[in-house]
Formats: sequence, C-alpha cells, structure tokens
Amino acid sequence: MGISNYISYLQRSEEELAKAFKDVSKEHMREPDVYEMCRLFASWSLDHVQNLAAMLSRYGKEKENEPGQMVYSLLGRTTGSLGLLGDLRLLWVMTNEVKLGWIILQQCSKALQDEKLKLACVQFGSQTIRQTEWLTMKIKHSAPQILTVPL
Amino acid sequence: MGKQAYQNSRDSIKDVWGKRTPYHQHWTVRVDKQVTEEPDEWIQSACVLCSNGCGLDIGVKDGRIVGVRGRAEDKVNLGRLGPKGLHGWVANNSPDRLTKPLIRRNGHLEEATWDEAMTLMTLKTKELVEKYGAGAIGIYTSGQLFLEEYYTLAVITKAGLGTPHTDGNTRLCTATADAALKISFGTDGQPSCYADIDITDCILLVGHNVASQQTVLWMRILDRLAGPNPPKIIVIDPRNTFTAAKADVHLRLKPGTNIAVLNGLIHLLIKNGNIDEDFIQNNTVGFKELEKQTAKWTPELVEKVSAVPADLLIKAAKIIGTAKTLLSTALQGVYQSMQATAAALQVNNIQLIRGMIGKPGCGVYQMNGQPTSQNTRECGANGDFAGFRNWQNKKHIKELAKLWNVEPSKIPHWQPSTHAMQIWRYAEEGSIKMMWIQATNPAVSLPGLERIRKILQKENLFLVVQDAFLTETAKYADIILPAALWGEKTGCFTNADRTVHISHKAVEPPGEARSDLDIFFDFAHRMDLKDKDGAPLVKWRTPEETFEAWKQCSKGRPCDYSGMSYEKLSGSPGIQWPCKEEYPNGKERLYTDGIFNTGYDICETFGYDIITGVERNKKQYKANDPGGRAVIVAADYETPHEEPDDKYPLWLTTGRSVYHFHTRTKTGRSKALNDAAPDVFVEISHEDAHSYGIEEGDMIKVVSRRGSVKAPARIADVIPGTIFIPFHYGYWDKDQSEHERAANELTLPVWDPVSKQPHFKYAAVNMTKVS
Repeated sequence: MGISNYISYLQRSEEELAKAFKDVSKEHMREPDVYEMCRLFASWSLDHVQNLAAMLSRYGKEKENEPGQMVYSLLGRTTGSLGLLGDLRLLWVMTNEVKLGWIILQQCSKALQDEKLKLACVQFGSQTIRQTEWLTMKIKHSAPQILTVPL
Repeated sequence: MGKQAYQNSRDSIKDVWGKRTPYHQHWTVRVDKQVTEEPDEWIQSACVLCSNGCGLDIGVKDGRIVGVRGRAEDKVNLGRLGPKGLHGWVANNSPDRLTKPLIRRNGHLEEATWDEAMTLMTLKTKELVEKYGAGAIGIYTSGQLFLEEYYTLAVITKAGLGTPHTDGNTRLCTATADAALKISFGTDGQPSCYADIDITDCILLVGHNVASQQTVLWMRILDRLAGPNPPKIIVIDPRNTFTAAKADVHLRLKPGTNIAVLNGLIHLLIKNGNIDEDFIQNNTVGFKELEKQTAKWTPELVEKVSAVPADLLIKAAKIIGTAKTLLSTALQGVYQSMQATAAALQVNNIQLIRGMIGKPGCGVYQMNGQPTSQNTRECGANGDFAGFRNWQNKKHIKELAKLWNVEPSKIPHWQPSTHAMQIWRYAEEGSIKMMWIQATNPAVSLPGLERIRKILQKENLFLVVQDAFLTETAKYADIILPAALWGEKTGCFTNADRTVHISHKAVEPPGEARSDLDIFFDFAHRMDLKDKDGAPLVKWRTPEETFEAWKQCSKGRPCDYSGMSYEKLSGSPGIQWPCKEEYPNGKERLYTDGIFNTGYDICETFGYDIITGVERNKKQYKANDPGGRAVIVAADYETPHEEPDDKYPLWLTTGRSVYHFHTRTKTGRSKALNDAAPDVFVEISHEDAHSYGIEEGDMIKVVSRRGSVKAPARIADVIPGTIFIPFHYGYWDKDQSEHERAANELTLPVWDPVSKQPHFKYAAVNMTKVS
C-alpha cells in the first residue's frame, strides 16, 4: 500500500528533524531559549518517530527508501547570529515539510476511515504545528536585530 | 533633650513582627517608629523596601532624614513598619553616596560635571543610533523608581529613541505575576485588596514566604491568627520557613514540582465537587481541558513526583475546598521556578474553579517583588505597553501614538519589547553597543554572574550606570550618573494591591545627585526628542505635570488614575485604582461583577502556548473570544531544565532574608540590618549534614556548572537533597578578587518561555567541606 511508503517517509523526516533540532541546540548553546526549546522539540519529533513505527507495523512493510531531506545538509554552514537566523529558517522549512506530511496522512486516514490513525495525526500534527509557530516567532523576533543592527 | 525624648517602638531586628493586635471586627492601629533623634517635621511618604508599600512619614531634622514613623491612617499598614522599613532609610545618609558624575578616562573613573557627562552620553547615543540604528541601544531599568520616572522613560524609549530593547530588573521578580494576571483575567491588575486578609477563611501561600518578604502583611495575618476566627493557613514551600511554621498544613515539596502539587490540589477539588459550577459555566472558559489535564494527578502520583505525602495533600485540599472564602498568594517560589507561568496560572485556576474572585475575603495576590514594579508594568517601562495596552492591537498602538503625537510606526511593535535576558544576550553578541542601567545591580542579581561580568567588561559596550552608590555594576561603567534616592524627590508609586501613595520630597539629595526624573528630562532635551509636529516629545517638566500626563494615558484603561491628583493623594490613606468618576475614592476589588478584561479589544494579550511561549494573534483569539470570561489554562508537568545527577547530586534553591533587600546596596548600609544578617550562608538539612559530615558553621564549597560559592553551613529544616543560599551577598563590601560569595555565581541562565523570568530557584550543585 502506498500509505506505508508515505508513513516511512514521514518517519525518516521526523528522525532527521529531531537530529536537526539537536544539532541546532548544540550549535547555538549561547542562546538559552533556542537551546532549551530545540531540545524539547527534538524529543517531540523522536516521540513521533516511535509512534510512526507502530503505525508502520499495522500498514505493512516499507518499500524502498525515498531520498532524505536535502535541506538538512545546509545546516550549520554559517556561524554567529547570521548562522542562527539561517539555521532557524532551515528548521522552519523542515518542520513545515513534516507538517504537510501529517496533513497528507490525516487526509488519507479519513479516506481509509481509520479513526485511530486520524486521531494520531491530529495529536502529533498539532505538536508539529507548535514547532513551526515557535520557529516563526523566533525568526520574526530575531531577524530585525540580526539583519538591521550590524555587530 | 534626653534620650527618652523620642520613643522608638521596638527593636524590630529582634522582634520582627512586633506586638500582636488581635483582630476583632477590624484591624487596629499600631504606630511603629524608629528615629535617631526627634524630627522637626514629618513628611508624607511610603516605604520602598517591599511590595507592601506601607504608608510612613519621613522624619527630618536640620535637612537630614533622622527616622521614620508609620502612618496610622494608612489603609495598607495602619501605622506598622517592618525591620527594613524602620532601618533602611539610614542608607540615604551614607557617606559613600555618589555625589558627582564620573567619566572613565584612561581606565579610571574621574569626577566630571553634569554637562560633561550628559554631553558625552547623548553624543555617544546619537552616534550609535546614526551608525547602527536604535536597536544598538538597550535600557535596563529597575523596580525602584517612581511612577513619573517610568512614564517619562517609557515615552523616551518607545516614542523618542524607538528601541524595542527596554526592560528592567522586574523581569527577575514579577514578570510572571504580570503574565499570569494578563492570561487569566485579560489584563494585569491585582483582583483583591489587603483588606481581604481581615475576613478570609483560608489563605493558601504558594512559594511565598510572606513572614520574611512582606513583614507587615504577615503581621496582618498573625493578628487574624490571634483573633477569634483565625483563617486556615496552607503553605507550599520546600523549606520550613517562619510562614510554614504557622501553617495548618505545610506541603514541603521538591524543587521543580509546583505543577504536580497544584494539579494534584485541583484534581481533588474537582473530585470532591468543591467547585462553583455556575461560575465556571458562566464566567470562565477552558474548564474541560483543566479537568482532562488534572485527571491523572492523584495524590499518589503527586507524592511520587514531588515527595509531598498523599495524606497531607488530601488534608490541604479538603481545607481549601471547603473554606467559605479563599485567598491565594504566590511569589518567587512560583515565579523563579520551572514552569513559572504555568504554575501561577494554576493558582488563579484554584480561585476560578471555586468561584472565589471579586468577592470579599476571596481572591489572589500575584505578588510583586519590588515596591514600584507595579508602575513599570502600568507605565510600560518594563516591556509592557503603557496603560495595559496590547502590542498586537493596532487600536491600542494608535491610542498611544495620538497621546504622544507621534506616528504609530515610531513605536516599536513589530515584536513584543525585548526581554532582559535577550537584551543581555544582544550585548554579549555585540549588536547592542550601549546599555543604560538604572538603579539596579545586574553584576549580582542576574543568573550566571561569570558570564555577566564578561559582558560588562566588553570593549565595545558603552555602559552608563545611573545609581546612588558605586555598586558592583557601577564599577564597570563608562559614565556614572549620581541619582537621588527615595525621600529626596517627589513622586508616586503603587503597591501590590493597587494602592497608590504619594511620597513627598523630604530632603535634598547629597552633592550634585539628581532625581532620575530630572536626568530623564535632561536626556530627552539634549537628544532633541520631538513629536511629529516638531515640538518637544516630553511635554512635562515637574513630577506633578508628569502625573497629570500619566492620568491621560491611563484614562479608560483598567488602571485608571484619572480621578487622582497630588492634592487628593496628599494626606490620603492611599487610593486604589481604578479611581475615576464612578469610583472617586478608588475601588477595592476588581471583577466584582464577574466580568473580566478578556474581550479582544480590551485585553492586554491574546494568550500563549504556555509550553513554547508562542503568543496567539488577534485572529486566533477572536475565533474563540472569551468576551469577558476568565481564561482557565491547563498545564502538564515538565521536568526542570537541569536536575541533580551523579556529578551535581543536590538541588540548590536561592531566596531572601528578612533583613535585606536585593543586593544590599541600601540595607547593607544600615548597621542594624547588616549586623542582623552580615554574610552569606548555606542552609542544609539535618539529613544532608549527617551524610556529608558537616556541622553548623563548617565552611562549605558549593559548585555548579557555572561557578562556585564558599559559605558557612547552617543546619535547618529544608527538604533533604536541597540546599538554600540567600542571593543578596555580592562584593561591594568585600574583597572582589574571588567571586565566591554571590548565589548567582551558581544559577542557570534559563527562563520561563512565557514570562521570560529566569529560573533562580533551582540548579544542580555539589558540595564539599572546605578544610
């Protein structure tokens, strides 16, 4: 079934996202709120990974691997506050990709009349939405200082 | 005149709370007095050494302050004063007051004229703004100034300079009270009044050691306890404090577990049906989620997480649940802990689900840590927007723009004002190149002091410090502006139950010291700050004119001062806001009609995701507009950011002593107060003392990932596994080479996601005996 392929893709995306959050938290340890929040978000994404694994076992074995997130490799290229802004933007892209993934899966769950899957998508998808909201807020708050006030 | 010509009321060092006047139908007068000689005159004022704001008169003789006396008619204290109030004034006369401006030249601070200092300051400011923009300037103010100073500063920074980087040390003490009130009730503003203590059946104190922190409020409670119908007292605190000693039930919890205990209480209140279903239905939103969230918090789970015995929790919940009237209070044990805002909201929730807001004997005190911190929030000098306005509400911004006669776009509102810890981070990074620090001492009071010292020493950070003394922070300054203290200037301030007092100038400031207000006026004038028609932006030149300007700003908003005046406040027993046509003598309680300030066009915030701190926008809020109902917000338990582990196996918690205020800049200069609490100590439990082989008085070294402190041990009734260090002790009165005295050497630079208040109340440490 195509859906198992998709669940597997979403699982890998969440795994990569968790790793990205952890890396960004370490890279920007001097920004305490970034550090703490990225670690929290990494734990959410890892939790999603576990739950997606459980869903996979219900929908059958995964097929061949799709290519991973290209965006992840762009992280950490620049240092300092510009680097922070860049990393936050990339995280934003990755998180929105995952958000879309949950939307797609939720739609499928309706077509399949799978209430359990739908509820899972609502629960985990809402956490992904909260991740994106925080990233948007942090970017909005930091960008003016980073981009208009030179060091 | 002999020594007996004046009669001081008591030795408040030995007898902190003084003689009891048991409560029978009303609280009676007890005038406390402490003078060194009999004054020639008494000048009306109020105390500025805690957020109680006790009415007092300043005694003056030959142009000097010689003592204080409580005002018998003042509604806050009926004449009483605590040890800090009775002795703190001595600092005004200290010989080491700053009396001349100082400028750093060739590495040394040298005396200069006001003209030289202000010229350099404004030149530097203009230079930086031109080259880098207003975002290069940061203002770090204090909870120690007067209303008029805050309002002027707010206008200067928001409509003049246009920098979003304005905050103060109130971020460290009451940002959470502010946030919790806004989220639950729509706007800031304490719902109750101190008179509720006189009639309530039950007082729940959450992380609030009122016996040490607001001694006169505790006197009021003690007088009730000594009367015929004493209220029940429930205390939540990891230490067996003087407050806890009077509790009917003391819930002694592990650090970091406030949410567990509060959720546990709420769980039991709901289970036992001790809730006002009509009030919940008609006057609140969000109850269902609270019910869901607290369902799992059985007494057994609470005990597992917090170490509070299940049977004690049940006992406490029964008392809280069956009390006919209930008053809750919260302070730093909530605000400086993990999940600060979430926990403060649960305290509000307890009142809301019991329907106990806006009624006599009922309510909540989300306490303030400082005497005038209420005014920073009202005037918008701390990051809030003047008059409890909402930075996301375009209509509110337009109101301010019209009032100040500037374009709305001039007022920075593309983000909420930058909070203190972020301002310091920008300074660390280098984008903020000038910090103007006013009446506060971040070199001792911020978390993680080693890092703060590095920032203060930065080459490219231009530091202007405005203070009355050469504090640890001032030692790093490029310019020092000598400021006047309380008693040396006229102005008003507001306490934690909305009572406004006027403080008249009693004596001249020493030397060339000037009031903060005069310094702000001078700055605005030299910076040529104009409104959009080219007229001076700051249109007032005296404290009274400023007060009148503030009245206009507050009119129509919940914190309405429009019915007050200097004339009315002088000789008054204190006037609570709102004070307007409808309430010419002020209003005792808020929300008496069960209608809150949560309507989308009135509210000060659109609410938050309390785990991530993401603020909701207008569209989201309007979709579920509470429209006048209080907002109940549920929270699940999260483990603290740092927990004890193998290397750092103990919890550290920090706090205060009854004899000192902040970093002892004033109280350390009163011999009586300083002798009472001269130095730092580490409080450890009997159990830990036993396992570490530590005896009373042994020198201990406490280490965290940030730094270390050396202090003698004091064995006390604190929960095993936790140690306590008071945060007051910096370095101005001791050798500065070794930084091992201030508790904040050890603390974490992390903060609550909503209130941005730092987590001073927990850190992982280890301790060893120093031979």
